[in-house]
Amino acid sequence: MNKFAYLVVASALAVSAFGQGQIDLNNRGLALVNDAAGKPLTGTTFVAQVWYGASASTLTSSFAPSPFRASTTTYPGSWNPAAAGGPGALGTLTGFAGGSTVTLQVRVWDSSVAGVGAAQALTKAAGTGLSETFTYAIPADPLAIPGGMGGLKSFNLAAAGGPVVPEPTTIALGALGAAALLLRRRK
Amino acid sequence: MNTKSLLLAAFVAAVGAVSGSAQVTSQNIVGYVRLSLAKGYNLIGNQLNNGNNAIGTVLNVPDGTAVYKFTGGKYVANAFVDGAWDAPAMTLAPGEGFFINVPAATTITLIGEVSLANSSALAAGYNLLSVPVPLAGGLADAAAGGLTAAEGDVVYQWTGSGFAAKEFVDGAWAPSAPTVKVGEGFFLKGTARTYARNFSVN
Repeated sequence: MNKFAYLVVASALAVSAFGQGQIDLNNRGLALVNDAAGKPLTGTTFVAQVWYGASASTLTSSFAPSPFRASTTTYPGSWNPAAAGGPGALGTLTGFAGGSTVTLQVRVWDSSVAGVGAAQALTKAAGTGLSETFTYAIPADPLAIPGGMGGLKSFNLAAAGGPVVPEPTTIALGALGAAALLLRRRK
Repeated sequence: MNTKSLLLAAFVAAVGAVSGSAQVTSQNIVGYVRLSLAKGYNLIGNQLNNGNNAIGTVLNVPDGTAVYKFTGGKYVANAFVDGAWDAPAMTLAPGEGFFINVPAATTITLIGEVSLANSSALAAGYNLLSVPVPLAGGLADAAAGGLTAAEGDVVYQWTGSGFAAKEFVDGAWAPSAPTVKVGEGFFLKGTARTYARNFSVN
């Protein structure tokens, strides 16, 4: 390939921006997080934390949690990584170079509730949120502007008093009661 | 990107401080540069010095706009959301280039004074730059960009969806010498050195 052809190819490179393992942690303008009723979430006590890893089963790294925006925002349903205490709008994916693919997941909870955090979000506890896992292909081109949340799908916080999983003892008691009723009818 | 610029040769040929036969004259050239931005990413530069060059004083943009500077091999982002910049202390000084992502096509006006003495330290590798004065023409022309090309330099110019590359090899630009518009930003990949572009009314 001669030099000119090389330059033509180079100029055709679509720049999704410089790699360097960077990621844009914003979901503004992309998929939203909703409260349990389906309304885009606002309130600065709510936080979103982006977890990442090589696969869905190895999401062991994370960025600092980002607070959601105030109720007056133009962008409800989005968190603000550039806010004080947040990780910054652009983060570096440690261990992932440009050209590689990383798996991501977002966990949401209310930081004003004691004892609630990313672990509770992972179990889908009431009032927390957990996104589906999605992937981000880090651009190999070092000039490409980072993306990141393009694969995120909107999700809702789990409702309080939502799906209740009965404990084994409860199930056993129920079974005993049903058996007793059946026996009584036969008599 | 359509550009209109006006140098109100407000040559305030001020300060005629006369002391004996000595006369000191200062020249201030103020004006504006108007840039039409397409929806999405635009690669531009601020070429007028407004004093502190804080982002909020340089740019008047719609909500949802984001700016990306490139420092130390990485991007730094700053968004204008809910009427405020995430990082209001960020500066956009003459000579710096930056990406600006606007939610809809818009026109911005940059106002300030032409900076007469300009010197930028270029890092080895990629640098996001603009010509520090509002002049169009050949990037390496003394009367325009004033960049002294070095062997192996590569200039990347934004096309709206990707980059067009031009490199300086064996003492010549290929496939052609890069030209820049007023207000245009560009990447320069090269060796560490100084890019000086001074401006004189004469």
